[in-house]
Amino acid sequence: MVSLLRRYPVMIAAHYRARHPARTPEAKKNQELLEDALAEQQNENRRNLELLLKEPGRFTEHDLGFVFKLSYPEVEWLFQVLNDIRVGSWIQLGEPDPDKAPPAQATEENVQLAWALEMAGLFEHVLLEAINAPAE
Amino acid sequence: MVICWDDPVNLMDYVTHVFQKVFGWPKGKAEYHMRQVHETGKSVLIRESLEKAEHYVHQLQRYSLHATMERDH
Repeated sequence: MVSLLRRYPVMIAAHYRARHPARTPEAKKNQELLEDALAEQQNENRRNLELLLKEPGRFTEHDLGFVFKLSYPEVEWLFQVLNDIRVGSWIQLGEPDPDKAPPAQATEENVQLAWALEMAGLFEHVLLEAINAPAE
Repeated sequence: MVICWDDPVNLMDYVTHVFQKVFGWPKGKAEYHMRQVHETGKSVLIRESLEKAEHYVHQLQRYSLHATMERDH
């Protein structure tokens, strides 16, 4: 988890501009403002992530590994961090569609990106199960 | 209006969760729009003023969903 989170941020804010370019000057300005806001959000998230990973007591050792303690608002925030890593890695891999295209060439960099993509998805799944589980 | 576009990378349960969180929708409505995105390539999520639409697009992009604004014709 820590190795994965240290990759943040991966997503490039302006990525989707090419696919859905703004048609008017007003829309272009709005798009740029949104991209600036997202970039600022990534900077803030990165600062918070560094603090969180250094905080004593976040990870406690157990028989089978470590327990990572998070509050509900922190889980919500972590979703954004994890999916930035997942989607950003997928974009860097060339946006492969498993139904349409062969997988990317197995270079060392691509293997790292594919690992990050899959691990981020796994942790998202685990967190979704945790917050949707009935209270004990 | 705010449009969410399909991609093969976002988990279906994750998209449903984000719609619930951003719009405050019940799970059924969030799942309906998630399926529409998945099956038709996009879904019009909400029709709102420019200011509110910007807010929603920003929220969706914070979760790395592909969302855009378009003028309603």
